[in-house]
Amino acid sequence: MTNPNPKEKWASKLGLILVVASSAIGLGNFLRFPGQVAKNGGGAFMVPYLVSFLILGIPVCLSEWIMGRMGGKNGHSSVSIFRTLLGDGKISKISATIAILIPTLIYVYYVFIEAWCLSYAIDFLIGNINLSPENISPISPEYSSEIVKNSKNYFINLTGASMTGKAFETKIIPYTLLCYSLNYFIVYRGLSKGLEALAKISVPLMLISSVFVLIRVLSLDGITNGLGYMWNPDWASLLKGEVWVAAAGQIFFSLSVGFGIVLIFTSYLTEKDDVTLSGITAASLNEMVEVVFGGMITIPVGFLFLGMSVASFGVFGMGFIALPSVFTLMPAGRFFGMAWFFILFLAALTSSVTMLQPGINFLEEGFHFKRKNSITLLSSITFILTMGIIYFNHDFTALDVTDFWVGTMLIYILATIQVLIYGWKIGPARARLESEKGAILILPKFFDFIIKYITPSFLLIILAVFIKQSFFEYYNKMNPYYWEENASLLGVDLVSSVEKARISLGVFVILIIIFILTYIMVNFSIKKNKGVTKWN
Amino acid sequence: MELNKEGLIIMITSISCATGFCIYCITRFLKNNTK
Repeated sequence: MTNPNPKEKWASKLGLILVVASSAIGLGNFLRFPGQVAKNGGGAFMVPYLVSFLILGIPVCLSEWIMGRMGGKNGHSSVSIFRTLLGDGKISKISATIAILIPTLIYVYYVFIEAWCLSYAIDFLIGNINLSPENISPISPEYSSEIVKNSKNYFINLTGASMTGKAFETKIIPYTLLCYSLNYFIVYRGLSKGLEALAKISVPLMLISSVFVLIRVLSLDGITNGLGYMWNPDWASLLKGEVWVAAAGQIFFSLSVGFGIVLIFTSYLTEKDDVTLSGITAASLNEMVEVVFGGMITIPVGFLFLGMSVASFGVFGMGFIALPSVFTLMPAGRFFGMAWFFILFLAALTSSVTMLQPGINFLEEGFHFKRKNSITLLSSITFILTMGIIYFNHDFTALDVTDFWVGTMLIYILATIQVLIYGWKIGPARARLESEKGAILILPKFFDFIIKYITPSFLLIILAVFIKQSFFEYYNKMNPYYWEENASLLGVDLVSSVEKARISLGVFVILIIIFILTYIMVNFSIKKNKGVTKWN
Repeated sequence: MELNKEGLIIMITSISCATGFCIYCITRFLKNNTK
């Protein structure tokens, strides 16, 4: 099998690092990380966080870079990569199917969230957000809680989360269309002229804007109280198992390992190119943004204006309810609100543009589609699915269920498969020899032991704890009979909870159908394209 | 909740390590790719 698109390549190695780093830098760095730190022992959280970075983040990240290059000998789709690494067996087909589906299906709801960020940025820019309550004095104790209430209403109205179909009446539809067009345009321009060019502009822009917002936050009176809430350590939390699992989970999602994207991007590298230092550099850039900007802005400023209640907001609540409230209370908040949501929009855009690449490469290589046709087909399918997510956005139900099954469960599974292939199929010693080709940085020998035993054990423990914590919750969420029996006991509205359970079940069934269809397509493409040489 | 001495040390150490590690990696990478 030959590469049908040999002209596609990276213009520079730094460009590839920026694309991978900007793909990983997303809302999790700015919104999820600070919430996890504040909730799990403040500064003490950095101990399990650092340990997780070393024994989970770096090994999984490097295994993707090394295996991507190894698997790219026959082509640049997930199918070619897993066939090169594993042959034509069932595990190879299932892994390829998961690696195509994860980024494509995350794209389906991620563009919707990207549209929220763009909408907030523009609304702050043109002064379209007015959360200040009328008839209440700014010195009144209820003033800030009224702003939070208004902010929540604004967010619910914008996203149409109050009832099924409501989002179709809001302005989020044109914003989603705009984001789709933007993504289409950038992806259409290709790897070097599209993705790489965007990363080279947006990463520095994002860093400069973040520094700007950070300086403003640190110059606020009383910010040391917010910083104390975020960073003062509670050492007793280190004895709690859930704190260690939370730290591992944060590292895992923050570095975007197990997404199936890095495998594709690194498959374009040759044996003359370095993969070890490049992989670590991309991870270090993501960590720097997370610790410096994620750790110094969101929670400190939120605590300063909203007090202890800031801890009660989830990721979306923190980003789209708490922070708009803070910008309303903050001097020159309109300008900084615009800057902040512009940063979030750029972070989301640089991630979303990378998500269609695995699907595009699959259609190009497996079915010999032209690039234009594969992008158009994939954009059309994902757009229809996005419209479904938006229509069934009652309490974010469709989005939440898709994120759980695809954005969490499948990612854990793919990351575990990848680490097991590296440690047990290829063998860490042989993989290390492969990594040394063109390497600027040589991996130490103890890395073999970590990736063979420690990392998979750690991953399996996290997966087990995660299933224990969330699997049954989501299983019940999809069961209308459960809500018919328990709605009154749990004090929730019967009609609404049964409707949401039906939506969740419907989404789950659609995901299963998509998985089966993609698996059939993977199978078909393998039959159509024979003659793959294995990596060894 | 005033930032205490321990919190300050952890905050400065974390930020310095994250930034320093990133700068070290990028510098080493650029040095090897501009020869």
